[in-house]
Amino acid sequence: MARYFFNIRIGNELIVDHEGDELPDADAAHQLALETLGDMRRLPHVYGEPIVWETREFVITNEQGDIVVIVPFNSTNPAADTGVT
Amino acid sequence: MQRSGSPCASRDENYLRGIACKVYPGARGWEFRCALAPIRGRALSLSQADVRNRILTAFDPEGFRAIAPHLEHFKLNLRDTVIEGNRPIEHVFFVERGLISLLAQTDHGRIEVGMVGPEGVAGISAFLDDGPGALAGMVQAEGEALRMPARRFRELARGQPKLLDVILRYIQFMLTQTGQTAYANANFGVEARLARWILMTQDRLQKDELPLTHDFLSMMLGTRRSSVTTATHVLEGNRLIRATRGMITIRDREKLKELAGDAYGVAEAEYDRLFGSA
Repeated sequence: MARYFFNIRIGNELIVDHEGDELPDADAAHQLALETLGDMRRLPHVYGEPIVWETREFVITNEQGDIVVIVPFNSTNPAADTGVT
Repeated sequence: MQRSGSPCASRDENYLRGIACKVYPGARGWEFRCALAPIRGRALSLSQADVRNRILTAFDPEGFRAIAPHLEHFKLNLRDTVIEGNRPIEHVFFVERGLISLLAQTDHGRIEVGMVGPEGVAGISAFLDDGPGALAGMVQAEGEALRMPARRFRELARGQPKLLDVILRYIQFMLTQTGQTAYANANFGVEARLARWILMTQDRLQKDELPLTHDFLSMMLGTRRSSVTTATHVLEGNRLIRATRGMITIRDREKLKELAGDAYGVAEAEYDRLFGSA
């Protein structure tokens, strides 16, 4: 397990995630980002309309501060989208 | 064991053990000294004037005297589960300081559906029924409670009309609070929910600095952790709060109220109507 940080880029601004999540590897971090985005699309009354946030992106970093993957908020993941609430 | 009149190591610790402390001028400023030694195996002699819990203070003196011998001090440690969900409730907790969250437990995790601080009692459903209650109770801010066996509480409260009246009023409040939480979760986004939650927490802890991680907040609000990061950032950008690692400091309560809209205030007004404002 390692800690991955889900920083969020909004335009030129980067919102830094100081906490992170314990996950097995970078793939799991990527998957968690996609699942989160699936929730966000499914529940606009909670997370806001996609038009507001779909230009943002997750900049996921590891404990060393290296970027492991960038996930644009308009990414889709069929597996996550079919999940039940 | 400490003797009467000997200096106390910690006032909080003694409070938990049921030792009364008094303040005396000492060589290095004020110091606390034990007023009496604890007697093991005997009930606390609690005076209604000494308790902080609003439900205990709302009881009539005779009702309180019936309840008091069954109360024991109980330390609320952060994140302890004091009420297991889906099992008969063993104790009810009159919170003296700190906060207990009532959580619905689902396959996907736990989500907060109610909050109990010094204004209330955790485990109140034990009054209605002795079967398993669905909700769990988890300590969200450390402190102390006075707890008593649920069965004894049920028997006493049902047997005395004046106690019953207070308990029923509290249940009326909790129905309102739970309804307002359902309303907030059905109609409000993460930012408004966060604002409501901060206000409710501040009401109960009576301080501006709240030690909170985003991970924990996401469970409380029933939302993804990364959305709490964004919402916290927005509230901070608008100077409603100051957020540092693991800590949220309230800067502008009025603006938080604006953001929470009518998700906050209805349950609070109902409490004031039922119990008078603090």
